[in-house]
Amino acid sequence: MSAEKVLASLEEQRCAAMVAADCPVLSELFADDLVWTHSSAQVDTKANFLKALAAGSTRYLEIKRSDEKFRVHGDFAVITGLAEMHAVVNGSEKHLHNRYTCIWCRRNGAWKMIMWQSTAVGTPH
Amino acid sequence: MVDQAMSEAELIRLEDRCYQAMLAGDVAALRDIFADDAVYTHSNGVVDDKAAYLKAVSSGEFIYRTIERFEEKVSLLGDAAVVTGRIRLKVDFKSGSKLLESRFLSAWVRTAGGWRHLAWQSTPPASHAPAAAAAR
Repeated sequence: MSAEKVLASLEEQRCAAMVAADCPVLSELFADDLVWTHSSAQVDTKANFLKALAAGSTRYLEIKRSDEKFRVHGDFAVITGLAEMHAVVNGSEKHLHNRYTCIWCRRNGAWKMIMWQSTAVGTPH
Repeated sequence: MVDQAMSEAELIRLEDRCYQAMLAGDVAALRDIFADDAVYTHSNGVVDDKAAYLKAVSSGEFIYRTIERFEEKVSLLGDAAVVTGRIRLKVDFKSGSKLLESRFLSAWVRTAGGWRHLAWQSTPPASHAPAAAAAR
């Protein structure tokens, strides 16, 4: 299977696990040094991201991805796309329309997600 | 491969060269620095590929006046590297001059031709974002 196909499947797993708040699966997919930059510019570590999900303070109800593009360079991959997310954050409902850059790295034969960053579409300059 | 390993200082030098080319509006230098499949996501969520970004720089759609970086963190990943941090840019748009403050991600990759800039994304703090997208 091509790296792109593997990564596409991992991205599906990741989004499904986020909606299911399945922390063991996410913990497996995320590198320990994951850096997650939300569209608010708030930065989370892997531990903090999973803690918010486990506690239910962040709930992802739906994640739709489109315009997904893969740039694979050996053991390094940059994925970009448009994510429409329906989330509940600290009790407040959010409809997010974000451009994202997601980075995966192959370590000891296994792809791990090391970085996510999203930016709201239509944010005025 | 140890002798080819990228050091943090070398990566920062690559970054410096990139920002200098941005400030100079040096399209030829940026063409050389950017990977052919480079992707640039601006802080307003607009996505440019290499051709679109170079066109915007050459047409003066935005002119970088000052660029300051803070809290840079470098991750060295063999034939790739990622820098994250905060950035403050003064940019002239056709609509006027703006001071932009963002969190950024900057990814580099080693190609047959050397190290190239593969991806950039910047994200302004929530107070600058539309209300619907404010929290995360």
